Amino acid sequence: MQTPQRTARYSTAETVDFVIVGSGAAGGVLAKELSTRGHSVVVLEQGPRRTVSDFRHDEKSNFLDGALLSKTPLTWRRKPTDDATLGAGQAWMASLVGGSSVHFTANFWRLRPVDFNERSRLGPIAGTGFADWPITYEELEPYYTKVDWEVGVSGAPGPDDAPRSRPYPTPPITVKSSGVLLERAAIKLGLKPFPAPMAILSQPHNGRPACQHCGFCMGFGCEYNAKSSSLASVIPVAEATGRCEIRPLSHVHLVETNAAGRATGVVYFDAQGREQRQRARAVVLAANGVETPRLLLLSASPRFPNGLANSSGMVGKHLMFNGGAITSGEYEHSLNEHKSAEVTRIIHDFYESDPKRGFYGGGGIDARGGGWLPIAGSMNVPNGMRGWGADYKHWLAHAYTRTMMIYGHTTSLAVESNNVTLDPTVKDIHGRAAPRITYEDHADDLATMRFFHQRTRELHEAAGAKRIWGNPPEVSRASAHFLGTCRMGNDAATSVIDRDHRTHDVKNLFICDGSSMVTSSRGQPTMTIMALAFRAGEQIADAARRGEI
Amino acid sequence: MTTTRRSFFSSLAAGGFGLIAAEWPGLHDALAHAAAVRSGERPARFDVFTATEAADITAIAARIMPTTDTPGATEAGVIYFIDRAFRGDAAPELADFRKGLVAVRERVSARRPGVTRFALLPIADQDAVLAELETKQVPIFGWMRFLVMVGMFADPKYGGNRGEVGWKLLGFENRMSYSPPFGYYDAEAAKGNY
Repeated sequence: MQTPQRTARYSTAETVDFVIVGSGAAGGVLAKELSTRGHSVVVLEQGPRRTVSDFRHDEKSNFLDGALLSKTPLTWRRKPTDDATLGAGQAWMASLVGGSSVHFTANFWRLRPVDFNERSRLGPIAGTGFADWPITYEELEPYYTKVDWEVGVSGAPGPDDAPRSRPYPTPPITVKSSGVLLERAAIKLGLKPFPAPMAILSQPHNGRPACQHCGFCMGFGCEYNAKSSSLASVIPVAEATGRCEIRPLSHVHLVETNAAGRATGVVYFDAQGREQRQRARAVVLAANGVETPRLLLLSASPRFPNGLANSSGMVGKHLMFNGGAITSGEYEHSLNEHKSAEVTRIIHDFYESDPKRGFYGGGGIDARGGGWLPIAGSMNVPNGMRGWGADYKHWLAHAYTRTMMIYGHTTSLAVESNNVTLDPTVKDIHGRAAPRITYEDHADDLATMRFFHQRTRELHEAAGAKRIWGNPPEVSRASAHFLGTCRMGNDAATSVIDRDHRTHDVKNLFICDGSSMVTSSRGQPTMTIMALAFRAGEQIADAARRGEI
Repeated sequence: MTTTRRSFFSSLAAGGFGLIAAEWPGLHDALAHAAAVRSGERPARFDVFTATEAADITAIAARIMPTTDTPGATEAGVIYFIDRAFRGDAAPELADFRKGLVAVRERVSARRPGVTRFALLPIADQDAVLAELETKQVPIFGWMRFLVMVGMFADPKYGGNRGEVGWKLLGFENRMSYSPPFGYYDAEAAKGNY
């Protein structure tokens, strides 16, 4: 791993080239791209800085106490007419240097060409803001390849993958029992399983070690740096330039603008709760699909009365999660799914939307541990079984190592009334309005989840499961993905940023994170967020070089 | 901000329950001693719970994860996990939890007039009371089940899962690394038995 030896420190009195808000999947990549091109960069991260030695095998701390999760209060409701309440929904977003890329599962699926022009191919869908992207797969492909090599992705091409310009840098993660069973079932059903692309190193790469198969990926920081978070991969490169300062515990609440309508910097609360101002020649927001629109809405001013960069009214709108369907299966022999990376085989045969199904939607399927850690495993009670007492204890002792889950990861449609707004009453610890989620699954999204639920059951049956359980999908009350809330587009009236991530309204304000996405992906957006950030970093640096910022 | 934690507890204990006026009995050292003897520990002092409360919690936990041919909640020291939880992160919910224990005592008395203590019921009656609480979705049941599972299977540093008895029960090894094969099916596949 590269050791930052000349980590920059800037005074808040200095005007730096770029201030980046957020250090996650996008912010880390942007910091690397801009600093390695010679720019001075300050990254403001609301969470703390943690290192590999801070991470632990501690299920309770990470899953029940939310040790890595954002402390921002968040209210939730289904319909715009409902009252939103704290705790009505769960947002699973990490808050630390590296953001959610530290605790992600590391499924790294590229989009396909169809993801970018699906609206043109399928036509409009009533009640939605279903739209094409202003960029194509071919334009993004070189940046997906940068993610593969600079961030570190292990895999092998799938049978229906989009073309790639370079092979994966490291081979797939060693298959485990869930992968073998999924593969066996898929072949029996005439499907085409293939090795999962994972942002986890199967072999040493870029000075980082290979996965040691400890099993603590999803929800945890990697204790080996083998998982390719921005913290493990690009942030050390950015810091090694001597031009990039990562400033943790810095919670930005305002983007300031001048009389000319240009951004002049940001105001944030530091670790001591004091207000600080960082001036910059340009501002880049990469705070995620909740915090980025929240920050723009908090930055309303007389010149920008509906929020900054919101002349379209689209800031915060078209919020997309990703749907899911999960089914558990108990098998005859031990799988030991608590070992190694979560996912080793996937199925993309239902990737594309098929009009014959009668609804829009597609997705991918993987197999992984069924409550693969002890506490979660103890609570994954089969339907109809009493989840306590001697019989349950006996079953649990038998089944814990013999259980796996099959997941369907599915599309979500962009619906304008699904959004992030400012809560009228709930405040964060600094007294700033909390974000409010309004989200009701589109009927097609629910139909897609139910379709995938059936597929997961069939796969368990084909794999020879002794017992299959899991409820059909319901309305979404939690998500780890918050997408589309500052969507990219060519039309300033219907989008927030242009194809190069510049806001339509403010020339030196850029946005790149999950909020940029126009469609939701098949449930695995992070690879695309990182690719967008590599492309955005290059475009922004080029614009700076041309004097066009 | 304890939203996450609180929502985890309250999502299981949600619904709210009516306030029930109750007089709590004084300390019953004998019961605490009995519970401690069963768990192989010297008589313990609890930070939060009275000996009476601790005896009931211990007895409930022992029915949720009973001692069978393998250690259960008692041997895992789940009561110590729960006591520590309510001293720490779960402290704001202690009053609600205690109301839940009152609700348990109500069912106990309804089942066996004159008996007010879960720990003093015959085991068959204990199971019947828990089954009733579960069926009627009385919040204390879900809460206790949740706490017992966490106390049984969380890292021993939180006070439960003593001697890693919970992990041993499941076959979970808390190791820093593994090598393939990981399970039966990938081992078979590696041998060419697909």
